[in-house]
Amino acid sequence: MAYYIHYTDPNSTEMEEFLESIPACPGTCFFIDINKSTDLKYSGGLPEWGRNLNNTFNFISLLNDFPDSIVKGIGDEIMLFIPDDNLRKKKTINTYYQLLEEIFSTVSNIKDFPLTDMFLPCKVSIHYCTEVYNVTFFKDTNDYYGRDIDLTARLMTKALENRIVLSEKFFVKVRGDLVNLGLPASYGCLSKVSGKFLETFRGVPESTEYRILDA
Amino acid sequence: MEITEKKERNCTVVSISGRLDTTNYSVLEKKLMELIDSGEIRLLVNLSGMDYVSSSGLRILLMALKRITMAKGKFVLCSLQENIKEIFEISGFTNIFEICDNEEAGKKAF
Amino acid sequence: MTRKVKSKKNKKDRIRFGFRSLSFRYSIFFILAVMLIFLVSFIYTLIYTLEILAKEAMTDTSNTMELTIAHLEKTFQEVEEVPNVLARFVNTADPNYTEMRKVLQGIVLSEPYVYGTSMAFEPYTFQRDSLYYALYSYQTESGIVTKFLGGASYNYFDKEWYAKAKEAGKPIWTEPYYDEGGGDTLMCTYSVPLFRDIRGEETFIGVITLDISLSAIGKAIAKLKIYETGYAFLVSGDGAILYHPDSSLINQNVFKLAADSVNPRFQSLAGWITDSTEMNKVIILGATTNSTKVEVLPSTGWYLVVVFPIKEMFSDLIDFLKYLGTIFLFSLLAVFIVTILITRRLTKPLRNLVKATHQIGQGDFDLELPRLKRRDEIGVLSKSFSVMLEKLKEHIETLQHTTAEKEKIESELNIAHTIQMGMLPREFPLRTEFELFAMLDSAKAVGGDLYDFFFLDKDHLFMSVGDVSGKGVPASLFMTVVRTLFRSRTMDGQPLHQIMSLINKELCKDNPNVMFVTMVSGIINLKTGTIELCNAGHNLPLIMDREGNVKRLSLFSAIPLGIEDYHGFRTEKIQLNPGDRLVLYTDGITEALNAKGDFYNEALLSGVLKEHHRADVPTLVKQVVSSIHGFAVGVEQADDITLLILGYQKSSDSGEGVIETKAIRIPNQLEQLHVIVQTIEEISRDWNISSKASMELNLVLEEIYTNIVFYAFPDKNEHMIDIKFSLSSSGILEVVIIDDGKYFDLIEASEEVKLDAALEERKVGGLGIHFVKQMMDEMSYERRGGKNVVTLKKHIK
Repeated sequence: MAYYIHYTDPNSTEMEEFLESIPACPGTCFFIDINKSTDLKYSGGLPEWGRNLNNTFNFISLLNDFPDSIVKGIGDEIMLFIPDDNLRKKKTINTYYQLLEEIFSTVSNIKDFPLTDMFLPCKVSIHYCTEVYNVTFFKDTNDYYGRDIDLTARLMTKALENRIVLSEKFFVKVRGDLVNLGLPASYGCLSKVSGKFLETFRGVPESTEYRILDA
Repeated sequence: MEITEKKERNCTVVSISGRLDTTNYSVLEKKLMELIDSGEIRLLVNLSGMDYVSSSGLRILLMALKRITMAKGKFVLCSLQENIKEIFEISGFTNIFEICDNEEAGKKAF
Repeated sequence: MTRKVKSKKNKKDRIRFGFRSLSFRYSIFFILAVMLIFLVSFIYTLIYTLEILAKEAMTDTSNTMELTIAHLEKTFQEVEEVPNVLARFVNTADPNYTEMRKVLQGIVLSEPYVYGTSMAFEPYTFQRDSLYYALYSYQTESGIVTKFLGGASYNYFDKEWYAKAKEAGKPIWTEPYYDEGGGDTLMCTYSVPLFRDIRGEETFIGVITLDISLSAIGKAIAKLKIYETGYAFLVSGDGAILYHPDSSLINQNVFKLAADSVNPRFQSLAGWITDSTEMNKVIILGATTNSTKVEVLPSTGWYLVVVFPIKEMFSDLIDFLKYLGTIFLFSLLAVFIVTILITRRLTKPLRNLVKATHQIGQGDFDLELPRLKRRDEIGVLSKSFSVMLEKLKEHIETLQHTTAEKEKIESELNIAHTIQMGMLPREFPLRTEFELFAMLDSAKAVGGDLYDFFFLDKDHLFMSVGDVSGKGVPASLFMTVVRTLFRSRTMDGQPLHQIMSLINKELCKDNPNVMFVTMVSGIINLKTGTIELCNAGHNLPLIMDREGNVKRLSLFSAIPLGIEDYHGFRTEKIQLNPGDRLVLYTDGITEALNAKGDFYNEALLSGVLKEHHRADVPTLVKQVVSSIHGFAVGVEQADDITLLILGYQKSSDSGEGVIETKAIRIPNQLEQLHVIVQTIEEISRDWNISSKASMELNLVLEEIYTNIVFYAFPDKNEHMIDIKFSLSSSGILEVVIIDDGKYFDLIEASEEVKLDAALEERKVGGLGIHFVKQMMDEMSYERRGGKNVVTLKKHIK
């Protein structure tokens, strides 16, 4: 459960000590954004918008083998965070590679779905986070904060419809899984992953390496 | 996961049992694409033994459906377990797949 | 065998002590087997031969005995015939004294064994008036004499030869005796009762006797020659020895001899000999080691005993066996020698292999094994041995390799190395206003170098280069502490010297190993190019301007961090001009030694920097490091080499204030073009670029990017293409495209294009570049540090 931070005295040493003691919570962060959904809201009317969003989120929830991994949804964007500890416990999807393969399949399925008015196209950013903390400032809620969460959100600026942007850090993890599973480096959807990009994102002084995977 | 196939009078029945996920979807992909490429475009897929399917598994079924539809063939699913049926409903797959309750009904669909 | 002697001499060859060559072993086994077979057949032959020989000897002896017995029997039968003749003569002729004497004398004369013969009558039967009437003819030295027997001194009626015959009513043989009255020689008497028909009644009237001289019979028996020492003797029915080669035994009784014998075996037999078998046993008395054979003479009931010496009987055989044994031994020796020779010859390749393995065992793996063309097991063995040797070599190599790997991994140094390397930032920022690159080349015995850089905020970059005293894990752990302290303390926005003081204090607080670190740290304001530097006992940084002039910064040098609580650190400000490069390094560079023992000093470093001053920062860093390696070739690197160069760019030529920048690096994959498109969209939106200008930029970059992807990289590997956008306050958009592909001057290529030329004549890329020139206000190409640099400018506002 998240560390609940609630101190009334902003200068209390207790608070400082508590904050110092919170451990990092490494894991995989996803942002899934429904492309252009707000435009649709006004063109097709609320019922259609709502229906499509419902369908799409339903669909996305399929890959959600991690009940508490959906951290938050802001309108048509949702954030998932899967701590490494949770990932390792899973029987079904327990490697970074499988995570990527599943999210890729979901985006592909949406893209290739024969009925065009069922789903809304998605874009995804994925990052493997080390500088992230499982803290919340509101009672009984779960949340994650940290520079790497911000970076994941920034990566989304490189994503387009039916595109997954993955940070090099996550990609390295996926590659590692393939090695461990004894699979070739370009197995499955990895054959479609692009070369390495480097960009300095707004608000992130260091440059970030990332790759692109189109469904 | 286990895949078996048998040739029927008017279609080919492919039975999939076990889990279909990222660890083995490529096996099914290869099998179905081989069948379609060899002209078996009347496929009845029996899922009675399937107890789990992930997005990557659904992707293969979707791919197969598209390929067969393009080739003007027919792709029918049958004997879905409850939880699989639920996944199909949630994902909207019930809208695009012809799904029969059992294999007999499936065969009649051809 | 010589091998063994040799090995004893040779200490190094101890392993061979007690070594038995295969041929020796093989020969021994072979010889043993042969010996066994020989022995068995030998013994069998021996037994068989003995049996045959014994049988033959027995048969011979039996034959001889039979002949002797037959001879004796014949004699006895002749003797026995005589009384009958005499009886008939007496009964029919009724002879007078003269006639009788004549007859008796004739018998003695004609019968060789007969010593004497007599006729003795019952009282008053032959001479009606005489009690005694007996005539006796016998041999003397002077001839045959006849005398009358009987009288008071010689009452023959009581004599055994007379009384027994009368009593028995049939012929008898007496026991041997010395006839004192008669012949004075040992003799036996054959007495035959004489009957006459008197009034129809057979009436005993007297006895006819024949005295047989035993010495005469003995002569016959003595003729029975059995080998050298074998002999025969004659025993009477009552056990009296009638003849024996040992004359002292004659007339002795065998039973008595047996009873007197100290040998209990004979004693027990003494009383009851009933047949010849028992007799046989008794007679052995005189010749225990000999074999004996006993035959009964039927007419007399005497026993003829033959003693034959086994030793002699088999002496020939034994000679033969001796001869055979000698031959056997010699052939065994010959077989042994031949076997050794053959096996040595057979096992020669094996011995060579043994020699080879011995050498291999001592580590000579490059040994050439003897090549064998043989198709037998040894050939196969040799072949498999070669294969094995190869495998062994491979295995050992792999083993050495993996062992080395393992040792490396497990070594403390490697742990230190991992810690050290794990902490260095590897992603160098991609920005338009500056370039940063660093390398740390760690020595085998990991030194304690470190470099670090991180952004304090968007415009402030912290950087440092340091050298921890000591090596190995403690140094690398100390390094981690230093790095962590800097990363956590510099966020507070304090001046650099205060941060240094603070960190120094913390390092001194808990520093049991008294480790310290020399360090130069700096914070650059990327907007202004102002850099704050603080030096804690480290090498002074160098600064190189855009012309390649290198000078050393004269910074105040405080004491290294970690030694003592100290407050004398100073922050010194330096203004960087666009194109300036700040060079931070450790003494691993200036103190690198070459084979001659010279230092790679600051002057050399300055020279290399100047030589490559036009190259980009990563290239410059790599050039310097490789020049150090070139300098110190053949000398093991003693210390870590660390080099960090910051190139301050600002807005390049114009020098005007840059207000916006954006840089991307993309791989040479055509399908990734959209990222450029996307970026242009992004900056167009953020920088308020008109859609027309945006579209033109799009076209231009697409053209250039496509050209680069298609033609710059013949190696087909993944390459990176940098695109840097910047917007100056005067509204000029500058785009720099850098690739590390082959030399390709876009501008030159585009100049050759004639618009009116036929489509197929146009040079690849030419037309597109022509458009590029049309759309951009300025365009330049430069080959810089092995890279193509294309700079585009467009006034957009």
